[in-house]
Amino acid sequence: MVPGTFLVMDKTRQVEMEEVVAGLAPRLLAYCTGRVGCHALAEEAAQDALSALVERWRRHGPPENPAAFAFAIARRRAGRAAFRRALLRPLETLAGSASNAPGPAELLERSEEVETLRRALGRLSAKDREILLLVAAGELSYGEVAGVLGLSLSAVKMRISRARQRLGSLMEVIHAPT
Amino acid sequence: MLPHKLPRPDEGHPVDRSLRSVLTPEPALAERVRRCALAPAAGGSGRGVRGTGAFLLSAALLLVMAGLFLFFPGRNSPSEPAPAVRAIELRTAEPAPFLLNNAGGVVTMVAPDGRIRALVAGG
Repeated sequence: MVPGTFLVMDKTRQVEMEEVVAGLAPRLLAYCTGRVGCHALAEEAAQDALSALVERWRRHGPPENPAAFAFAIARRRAGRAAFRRALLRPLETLAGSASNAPGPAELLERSEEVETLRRALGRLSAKDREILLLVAAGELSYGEVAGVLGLSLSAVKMRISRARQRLGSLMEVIHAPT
Repeated sequence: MLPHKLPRPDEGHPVDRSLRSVLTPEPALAERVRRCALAPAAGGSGRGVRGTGAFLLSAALLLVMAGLFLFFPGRNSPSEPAPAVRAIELRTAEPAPFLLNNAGGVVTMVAPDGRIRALVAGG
């Protein structure tokens, strides 16, 4: 196939792609929001990932696993966005122009349970948080998570189990009256 | 059926449910992302050079600039000290209009009062 040309998709494939994109959009957004902690950046990362998936689909047909494909891209984009946000935050604060975009705290409702969950999630290690977000917010299967993170299926199962335990323990500690 | 449509294990795990309830975006936001992703019919996402491409482009430009600076340092670089500049002042008999001439590395100024100043590089 000549580079730069697009596959002429029949209507069935077009509909299938749109269905997949519609199903992935909220999942990608939820995952990116958990990673980045900012609606605007999360939207940008999710949109980049979905656009890449659409382009891939139109040029070369559907990837073997569209969800894993999109989340692998979203993971990189969200990581970069989170890094950029952390890097620029002090400068914006110094300049008095800190973004009004809601941070992780502002994203969540201020109910006690949600606040506890937010704090516990913030105390988790990056690896635990990543895998929890992929499974819970991204709604990926263990096999898909293994593909995205480059881990074996058993390693994914072990890590997700431990991450859930740690999150539960942290929530208990935070929730416990001092 | 595509792999992404397979049922997920542990869908009802309480930790997952809690996280999902907190992070689930508004439907309008998800719809906007979906529409934007599907919008460009051809020619890519239409968002220009971003991410890795922009980073690599910036890094390449920086390298080129650094290379140019190192290999073509110019006259005022530390490796080549600036030539001394010596001023010569002469006087002419008659006043002349202000003129500025730069030829062969010698800058000559003729002031209206008739004085001639010459800045000679390398002296």
